[in-house]
Amino acid sequence: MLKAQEGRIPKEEEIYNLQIGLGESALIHEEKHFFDIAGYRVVEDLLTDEQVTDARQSVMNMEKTPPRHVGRMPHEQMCQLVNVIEGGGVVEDAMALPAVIDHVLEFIWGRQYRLVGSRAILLEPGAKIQLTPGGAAANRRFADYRCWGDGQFRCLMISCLIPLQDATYLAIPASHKANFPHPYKNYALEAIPPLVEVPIRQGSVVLYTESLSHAIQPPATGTGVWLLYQYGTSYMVNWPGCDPSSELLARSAADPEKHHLLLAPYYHPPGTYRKRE
Amino acid sequence: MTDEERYLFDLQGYLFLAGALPAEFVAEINHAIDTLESLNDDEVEARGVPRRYCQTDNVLVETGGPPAGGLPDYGSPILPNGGFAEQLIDWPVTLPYVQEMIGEPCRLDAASYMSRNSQGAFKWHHGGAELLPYSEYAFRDGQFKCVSVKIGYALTDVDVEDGCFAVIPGSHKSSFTNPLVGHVPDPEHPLVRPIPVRAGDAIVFSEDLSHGAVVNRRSKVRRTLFYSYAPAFHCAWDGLADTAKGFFARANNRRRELVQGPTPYTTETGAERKGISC
Repeated sequence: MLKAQEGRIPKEEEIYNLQIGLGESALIHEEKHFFDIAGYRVVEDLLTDEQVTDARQSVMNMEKTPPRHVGRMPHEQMCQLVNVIEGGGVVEDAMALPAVIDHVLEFIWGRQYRLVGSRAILLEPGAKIQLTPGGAAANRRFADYRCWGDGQFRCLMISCLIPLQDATYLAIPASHKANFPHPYKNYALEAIPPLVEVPIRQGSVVLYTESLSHAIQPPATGTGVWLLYQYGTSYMVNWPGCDPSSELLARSAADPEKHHLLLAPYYHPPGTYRKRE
Repeated sequence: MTDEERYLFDLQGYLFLAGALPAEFVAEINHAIDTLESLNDDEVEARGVPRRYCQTDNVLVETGGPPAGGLPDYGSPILPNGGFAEQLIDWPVTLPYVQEMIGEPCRLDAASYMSRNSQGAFKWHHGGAELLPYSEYAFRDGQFKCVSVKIGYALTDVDVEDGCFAVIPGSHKSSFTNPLVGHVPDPEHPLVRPIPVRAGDAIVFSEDLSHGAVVNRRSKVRRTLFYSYAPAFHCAWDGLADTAKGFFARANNRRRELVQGPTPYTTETGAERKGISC
């Protein structure tokens, strides 16, 4: 046995290179601790005001005339644009913000992550928003939150919301670990006692596990615009309507991070099922 | 699943299903495999079932020597063969187990054939402590919620000396990494359970279970089909769920859905079916 030969028990990753990039993020203990407890984390000022203005204009244009490969889903005082990265520019670039990717690297599965969906969400005052299911009792296996006792995250899906105006994210902190379904189905958001308001400056981001019960506060006035990027494990398929076009794949090929995010689903990168030298 | 089957699967990480395939069906499958093996590499490639010969630098496989005139150890995708391979997609004896073990709409993510010669073996891999997200064994709220369930269908009788499948029962819940990983299973080790089979038997197991195959010390070739299932949001393994021409026209609805995968990311809320999560 290896134990006898080497005086210690080898870890599987020392023999098989199956899990790439674990422990490579720059997140500090306090940041990981916060995320594990609360289920979300805000990272401030990742887009400049100019980028925010550009992105907002781009989304408004797409809402009027959706480009090819972008789906438009109006619903009462709300509209979603699906696969919005196809619009290019800041909206495309924002899928690969280094500070966001560093969190994804930590929270999902090392380097084995991919972008599984992107959207823009446009909300009008009075939009009826429902709190999402959360925790272990929710029937959303693709959103499973996992962090084992020694601090190893294996979240299946991490979402990143970026408001393009000052706005408010709503969440029930710690609900990603709830063992019971939340009892607030069909409640108005303001009638949900444990829901907390998380103010987000425009261009900042809130990262959260999809297992967290959450919502977006509709704006008091004007149109609220949010960008949403969803990252999953490398083997997760795209959300319906979110397959990248050949044009997008071609123009992002030279950008290593975008290229990585848009790889077709895979379990292990080629060549990793080999013995390490 | 019966209460005893649930208990045993949770306890051990696998179930043994004797006679899952009737003898005449096994004979039909072996005849089809014989036919494929009478073809050269180019011919099987043209049929969509290329032989992927085991390489000596493969860390999992201990390569066996081919019998005189026989083929070296290899694996191949099998669905493009059509026929028996398509029948097994929704095999009524085994699929209900898979559905209960996964616990939500599932898909076939791989189907392959494996041939192993004398001296061949398969080294230990996986175990609960590995924390591989795509292989996780889970049980919550009174339900299995496994994310990878595999079925090994034996096409030949395989005793321990023939290099049978081996597992470490209970290792799907192990909190410590497997010190035997990378080693060929030793059937005498007190943790190890070799599982001899008769042709037609099936072993249904969680991919989180530490598993492998002991050394084939005889001259008989071990033939096995592996069918692997996962929740709908998982992708297929590298070309291993590709189908034969005309499959989608002739297949029943269940087979089509299992191969294509049901719509991913569905929940009890209609909103999410449309892709709205806020």
